Amino acid sequence: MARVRNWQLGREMDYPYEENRPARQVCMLFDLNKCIACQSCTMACKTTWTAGKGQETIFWNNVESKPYGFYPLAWDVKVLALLGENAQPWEGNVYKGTTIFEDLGMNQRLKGYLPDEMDYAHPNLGEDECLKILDGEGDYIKGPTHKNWGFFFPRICNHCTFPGCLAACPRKAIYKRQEDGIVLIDQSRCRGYRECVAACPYKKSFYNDTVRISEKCISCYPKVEAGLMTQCTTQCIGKIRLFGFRTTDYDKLTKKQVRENNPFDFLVHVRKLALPIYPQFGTEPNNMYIPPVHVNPDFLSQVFGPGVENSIKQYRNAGKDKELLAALLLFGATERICDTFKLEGNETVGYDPQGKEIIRVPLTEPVYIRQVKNLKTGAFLTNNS
Amino acid sequence: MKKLLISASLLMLPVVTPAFASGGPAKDLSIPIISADNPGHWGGHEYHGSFKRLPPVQLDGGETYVEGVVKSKKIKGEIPMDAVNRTWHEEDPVRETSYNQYNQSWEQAPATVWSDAPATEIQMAPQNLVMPGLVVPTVPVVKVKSVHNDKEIAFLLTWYDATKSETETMEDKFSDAIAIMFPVKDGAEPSFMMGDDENPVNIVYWKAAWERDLEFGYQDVRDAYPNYNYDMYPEVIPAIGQTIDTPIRRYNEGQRQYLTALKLRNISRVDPERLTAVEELNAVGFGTLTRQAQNNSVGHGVRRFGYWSVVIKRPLNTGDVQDAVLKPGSKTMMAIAAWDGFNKNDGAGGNRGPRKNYSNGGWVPLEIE
Repeated sequence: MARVRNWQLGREMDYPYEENRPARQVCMLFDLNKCIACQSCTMACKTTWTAGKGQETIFWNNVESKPYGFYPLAWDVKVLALLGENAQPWEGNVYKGTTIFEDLGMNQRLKGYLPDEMDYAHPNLGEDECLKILDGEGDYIKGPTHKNWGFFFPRICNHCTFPGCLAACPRKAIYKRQEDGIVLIDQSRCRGYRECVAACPYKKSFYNDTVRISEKCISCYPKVEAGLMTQCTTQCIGKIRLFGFRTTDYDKLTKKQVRENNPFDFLVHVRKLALPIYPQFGTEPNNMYIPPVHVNPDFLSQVFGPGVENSIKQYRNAGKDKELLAALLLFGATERICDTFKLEGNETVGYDPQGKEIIRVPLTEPVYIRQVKNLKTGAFLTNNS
Repeated sequence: MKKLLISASLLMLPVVTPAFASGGPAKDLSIPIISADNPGHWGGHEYHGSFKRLPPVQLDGGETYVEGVVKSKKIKGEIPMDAVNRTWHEEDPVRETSYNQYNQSWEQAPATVWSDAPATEIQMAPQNLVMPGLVVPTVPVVKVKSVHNDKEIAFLLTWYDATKSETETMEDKFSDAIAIMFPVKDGAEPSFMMGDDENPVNIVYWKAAWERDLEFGYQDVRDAYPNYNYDMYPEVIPAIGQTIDTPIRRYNEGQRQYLTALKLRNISRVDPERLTAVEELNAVGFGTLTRQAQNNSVGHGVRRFGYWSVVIKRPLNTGDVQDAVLKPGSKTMMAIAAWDGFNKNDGAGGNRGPRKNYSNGGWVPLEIE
């Protein structure tokens, strides 16, 4: 085991391989306040990559209805239980519990579990449980009563800096690309041991029944190499996602060398608005979420770590915070990967890596008041008469 | 009314003890539940952790045990792939199926080519040198016999496994398997941990799932989920009569693009045109296992009474530089690894990959007569 630096935990941790950060890291930002669970992302991914035989239960992208929706069944509560139930303490921004790579039992490379095949049979089982007050007689889940709340949770592979799948593969068939940090499974080298399926705490490595090997999200690398965002990002009708590259080097971060004009660095490192998903697992996931403001803060803290309060406070104030608004309005505005952005008057401007302008979005939509009636012909121009 | 009931109970006769229960404790007549925790006994064969303590009835004829060495006995004639019986077939083709069908006892079974070959009982150890591994052995002992006829050499591997695991077509299912390993270079002593940088090893790997693929056709989603339905796969061409159940071996090269591993010819995993249940591999240490381009070995496994019996046969000199050369009259060595696909360990699924049992002490001397 090597010691690696995990900025999300605020400390060093154990990992089977030496720290080796890519030159730049693919990163996806999600604004959970805007997701309506239309599953457009799921279908965009499914029809693009995983519609073939054997891929029936493979969803590289899925949207869960939290708190009781899961895919595969109970994935996150099971992994939290492996770390010790309610035993993930934070002191400030430093994680004091153990990750999946630490405090291992005999013959373990990391902590993980292999889901049963039936865990994949019901995507989002329990999704409706949050729609009513649980009285101990829910359809599937029995538990304590609490107030109604819920949110939709789109998930893809996190292309982690310290991937659990990569650490677990006995064949070294999984690799992280140096040029963009995308984590891939070599389809000609995999021997279907499913160690990655058991190891990934986010359960984003899937087993293909027909070809008997594991497959995972490829971050639409043919699109990314062409400077385009992924299918799940560009097909999102709620415009909740933003895809691009984030600064990865830990040392530079501590020396405050983040690029403030990069929307990802700005939202993740400068404003700390977007937070990692289950950082306590220790894999340093690279998908960042803006937490939903209306949800139980205890639950959010368990999922997104200690930065939740600051994030919600800023998000509620975003209407008055022009700089923040400028970054948030890039979401869903273009298919091109946006490297830098700038606030120009009432507009946010996005640039590609060569510095060429690719998108210009107004912070406030102009208001047009249409006439009720055409004065010459008398015809109604609106239907609200 | 109450009085009546009491008097009736006083008058009740004692229950007659059935004849079969008299003498000794009452028998448990419930159906035994066979599981990994409670293997029970199959077909009258109890598992004793050693083949030497088995009842005298043997799966493959008489037994002469040798200690600490595998001796390959020289025979005349062809080496059959049937692990259990061959001469019976030749002598009386009518009685092809099994002895039991004609109330023959195993003791009366005629000799096979394996009968006089000396057996070696190899104790297995749980692999826990690299993670992940096993804590306790799941296949504690493997019996090895070997014969050769100056052209070909064959190994008969027999081990007990209470559960038959012969599918990998589900997320949490793994296959039973066994492998034998030789040093590639003559006289070399590679690390028994799958070789080392200077000394590669040659591995022949048999898997129960491949045996089933050969017998019933490549296992696909329909075999795992008989009642499943799916609207349509994009690669399927209905215009030429294809359906969701069209076997993938009928897929053309264009259609195979939808199954990436099939298109890439990862035939260790997806091989709808498989010819034998073994594959040949090379390794130079853990994590380096690589399939050979040329496969010279054949294998066939049968399962009787909870035991797998697998015959692995290959030419003594295959002409393939990646294979170990085995010469008559020479001494070399071999090692064994075995997997129980059903065994669940640490909630992480059955045996596969490094979660295996290996021949305790590593290499076992192999003397070729």
